[in-house]
Amino acid sequence: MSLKRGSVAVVGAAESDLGQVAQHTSPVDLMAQATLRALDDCGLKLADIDGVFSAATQVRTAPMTLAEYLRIKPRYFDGTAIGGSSFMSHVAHAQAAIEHGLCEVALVAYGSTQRSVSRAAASPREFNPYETPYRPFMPSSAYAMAASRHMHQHGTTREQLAEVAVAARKWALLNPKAWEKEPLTIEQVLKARMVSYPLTVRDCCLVVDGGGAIILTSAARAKTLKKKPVYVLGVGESLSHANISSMPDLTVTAAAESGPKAYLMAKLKASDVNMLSLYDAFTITPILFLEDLGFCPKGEGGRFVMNGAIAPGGKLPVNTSGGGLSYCHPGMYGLLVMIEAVRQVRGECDKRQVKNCEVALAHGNGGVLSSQCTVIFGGPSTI
Amino acid sequence: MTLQDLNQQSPYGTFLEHCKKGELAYQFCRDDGKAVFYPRVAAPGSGSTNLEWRVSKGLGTVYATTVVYYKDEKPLNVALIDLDEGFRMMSRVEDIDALEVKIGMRVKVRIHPGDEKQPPYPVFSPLLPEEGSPPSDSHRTGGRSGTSPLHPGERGGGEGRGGGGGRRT
Repeated sequence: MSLKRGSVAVVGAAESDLGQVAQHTSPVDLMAQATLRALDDCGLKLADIDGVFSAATQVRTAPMTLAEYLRIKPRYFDGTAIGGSSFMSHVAHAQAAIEHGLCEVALVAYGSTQRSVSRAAASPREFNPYETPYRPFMPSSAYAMAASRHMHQHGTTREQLAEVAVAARKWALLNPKAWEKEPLTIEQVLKARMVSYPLTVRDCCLVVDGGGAIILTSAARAKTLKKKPVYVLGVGESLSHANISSMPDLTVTAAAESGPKAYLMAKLKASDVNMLSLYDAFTITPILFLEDLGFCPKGEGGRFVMNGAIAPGGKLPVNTSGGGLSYCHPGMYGLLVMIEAVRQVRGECDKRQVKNCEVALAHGNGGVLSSQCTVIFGGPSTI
Repeated sequence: MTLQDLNQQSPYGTFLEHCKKGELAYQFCRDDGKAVFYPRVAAPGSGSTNLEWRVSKGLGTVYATTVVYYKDEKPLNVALIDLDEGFRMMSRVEDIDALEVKIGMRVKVRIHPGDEKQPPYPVFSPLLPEEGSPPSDSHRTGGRSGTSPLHPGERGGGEGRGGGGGRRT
């Protein structure tokens, strides 16, 4: 039995406060703030929520802690924690739960104060006797090794990686909520402080506070609410490894599995997608995902992004919020990846709005290219 | 089926005992002839417990590499090494400038003694050309550089690769 295209829709979507939050703010404060905003976005009330989905590095029992804070007693809950793509998984699982009547209004929420408390404190690394002794700077070094392999096999260059950061920055300058406010050049990316070769600090995502919430319900109920529904047309989830030394091929991610699953369910193909929201933890990741999700052949991602191809005015709009590289990256960024896709389908993106955006693909990445989850959203015309 | 008695010894414990003797150990599955690394209580995928410990010859090829720039430290290499017996591990290549470690480079293991906090662990150093060439069955899968013996995605070895590489312990 498989999930049904368009059976559920996102009806509410909101960020918490982003960037640098006040001292002593908790991750759950951010989740709750975003939840209230998302409820306001759709006109539902706290008491309507009967499904809670959450994961957070600073809150081990996220669905339970959030339910306590909001004093909601969910009929259904799920704390799937697979890194930054957890929330795409939550959407898939919420869809299954709603289809089966296990809940009707699902909340997916996230919060992090990693800038305030430090990344090391917010996301302590697990000890691994086969990796920890070598002191990789994780997760950066894992993505750096993937980049090294892509450069070796496919001739990808540091300049092409930098193109991704520059495109993200150009989009960010169109987004008032973006953390970064100044222009960025390829040269600046290349000359920035090296973190883990070939990645400089400008090839790496931001370390900021933030969170978000989205609310899903059945397609039937969605039609009765404030804003036009953003339907879940397709979902796909895939795990390939946990540690980078166990990744089968560092140049091919499990997006090559999650993407086709989502396309099959949505009855769509890459060329039907109007806008992409790709988890850009590092500049190499959108390059890998453009390939693995079928927007260019394997190995061509670096060449694909050249000359502003994914920047404003380019041939394919990618990460219009400014992405994890320039807008916001609060530790696990997947929820915000989806919020931007939802807003594009709604037509709420003002200066950065993609014209006639009816199909948006949100792709989440977790761990060290370990978990890959794809969600395809569509407007009313797609149903 | 005989599962390892975890009250007596752990997979990492056995690995570490070998490190203390100056050896890089891995497991070999007698059922399918494939190398298993990191060490486990059962072979991944099949769940077979028909595993034996072997000592690697310690020859391998750099699969991926990076250089970490920690504040006030000299640049640190971190690499993934494909061992000739058909398994991959994280390590670092020493005795060479960290940025000079290249994909496809042939390397040889030695055991770093560690310190009070860190038990002994395997590291690698570049191999001189006459010290050992890649396994003979891998010439057909050479990478872009012409020196990489493993094709992307092709690891774990087959019958021919995993079988003769190490010695039993």
